[in-house]
Amino acid sequence: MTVRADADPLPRTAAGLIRRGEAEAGAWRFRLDEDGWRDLVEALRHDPLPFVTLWADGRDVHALFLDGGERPLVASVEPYGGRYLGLSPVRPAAAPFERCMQDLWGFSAMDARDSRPWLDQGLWSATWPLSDRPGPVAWPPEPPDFRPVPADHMILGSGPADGGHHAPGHLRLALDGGGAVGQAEWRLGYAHRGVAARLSGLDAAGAVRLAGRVVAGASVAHQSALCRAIENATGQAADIATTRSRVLLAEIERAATHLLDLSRVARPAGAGALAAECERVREAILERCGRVGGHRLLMDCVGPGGAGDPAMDDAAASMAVGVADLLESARDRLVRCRAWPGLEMRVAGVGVLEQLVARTLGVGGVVGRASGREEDLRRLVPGYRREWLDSGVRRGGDVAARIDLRLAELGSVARVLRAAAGSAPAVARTLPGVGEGVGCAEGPRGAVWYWVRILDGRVAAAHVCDPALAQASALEHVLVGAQAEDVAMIVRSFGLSAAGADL
Amino acid sequence: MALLRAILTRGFRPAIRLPAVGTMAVFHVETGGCEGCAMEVAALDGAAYALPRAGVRFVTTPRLADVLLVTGPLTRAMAPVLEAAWHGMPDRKALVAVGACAIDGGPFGENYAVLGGLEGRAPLDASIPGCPPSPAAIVAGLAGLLGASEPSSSA
Repeated sequence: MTVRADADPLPRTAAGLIRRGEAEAGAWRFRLDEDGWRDLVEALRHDPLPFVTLWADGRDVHALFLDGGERPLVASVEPYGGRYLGLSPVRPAAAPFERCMQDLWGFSAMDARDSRPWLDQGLWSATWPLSDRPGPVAWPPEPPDFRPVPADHMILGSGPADGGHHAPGHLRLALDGGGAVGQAEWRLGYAHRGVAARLSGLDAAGAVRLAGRVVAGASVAHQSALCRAIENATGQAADIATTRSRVLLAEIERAATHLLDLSRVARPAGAGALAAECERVREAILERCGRVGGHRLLMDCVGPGGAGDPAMDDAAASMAVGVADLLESARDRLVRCRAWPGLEMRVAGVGVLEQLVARTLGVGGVVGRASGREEDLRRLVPGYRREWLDSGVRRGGDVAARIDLRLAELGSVARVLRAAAGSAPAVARTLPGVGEGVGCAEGPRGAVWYWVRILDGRVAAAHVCDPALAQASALEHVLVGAQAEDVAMIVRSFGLSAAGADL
Repeated sequence: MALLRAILTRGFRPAIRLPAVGTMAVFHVETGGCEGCAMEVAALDGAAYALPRAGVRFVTTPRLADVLLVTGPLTRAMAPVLEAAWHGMPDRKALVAVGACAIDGGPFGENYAVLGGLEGRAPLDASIPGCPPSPAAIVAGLAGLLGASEPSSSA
């Protein structure tokens, strides 16, 4: 690293280096030149600045960080000749994003840890479909480029169509003679629908409708995160009633999706009673949402803009009371089903995600908290109070910890629903709109981030970040050493949705 | 059949005990949507509806299936997979599209990565609209399929 004589003394922190760039959107997005970006990558080697996501908008590459763990800070650089210096050597969590950008825009990350395709299996109608100059497609498609497998291992592949009720993905396991996994690798991209490209050109209401259909298990989270990004871009803040109903709907969704994920992990764990109980309670919640809120999965229940829909706010309050009652009455039975001793033997110590791996790969949400990470974006979301978030973290990092934390969060959901229904929420501070915005939500499975650029009331460019991408990378580490018969249970315990990883 | 219809018209309740209506083996393929329809199909497979007890079984290989149930828009990457599943099924098979995406693409129409819905690409034996359709609507659609195929299955 060289310090130029004519420049200011080099700031020590990565955040300071980003802020030295040219401010482009308020005081949170800065354009760096190639040297500035290189200095930033160098500084990130030692600076713990948390990385969130990386994307492109056709011209620039943007990297979102969380300054001080709470203020969004974006560094932008224009790739020179389609190349930019990759972040994955210093932030391994950036690796899947770099691979997606290579597939969609043709921007290649120099020094990247991995430059193989991630989304593009060679079956699209163009290569680099979102770039200015999409390329032709080679036929037949090249065979998948899997990592080399350890010697004497047997390959076991499953998916994308395995009869399971989940989004398509292919998991390739290398098993040793004893049935233990020596290597695990995903092949994804089957569920890629081009969500970012589809968001461009939509008006705010249309974009939020689409966001509700990105990942069904986190529909409210995606809708709310996009709404917050749009409100950030246009300088409008949600009013008190809307803020409260977003909190209520997000917690109802958290309960429904936690119950779904619990039942999905309990079945392969052989805990049929726990699975059945979760499925019954979830169905009761969904039935109530459909009857009172008009949609079982709470799609189209969140809208952008200042004043919300009073009818929806009333419905959310009514649903919240009912769901809290259901969760409280089910609590004892769920605890009894969990206490079955056979289950503990099956799940304890299995599928351990170390805290360091979770932090390195950017795994948050329930999975991150079950590995001891204090990651909960609800502390940044308007409408929540810190004292409500009382379910804590678990240190085990195994399947048992993820089950226990989900059960604990079900209890916490009931308490938040009661507390939020009866208190005036804090409203977000209004910032001047600069045409670009960042919004987030803590979805049932982890942090959801949106970035939008708004021009003339329509979305000009957008980026979506779902926790599934980081979970998929983490699973490749967690599955190594597991027994083949535990693989399905471990994958389900992450609540991974390929719909969110592929977008 | 009549019993199943009677229950449906009375209003579908979770955890209801469905009468046996003959058997139907269903292979479910999610072809790349938001997973919402797949979650509603999963609800039918679970304890809340327990559809397998009514004779509608979900199988894990197309070789044992009578019905190919498709949810989600057909992505270009899933098209060969779906085709292989269809050709892997024994004859006298049915193709069912569940949800707006599987029928006509819904919010995910044709683009560089997506072909769209099945309508117009393959002869559909039943299509169950909705975004997503409720479990009750999916059961009703499958029941209609059983009703339609009853004469031939008894022959």
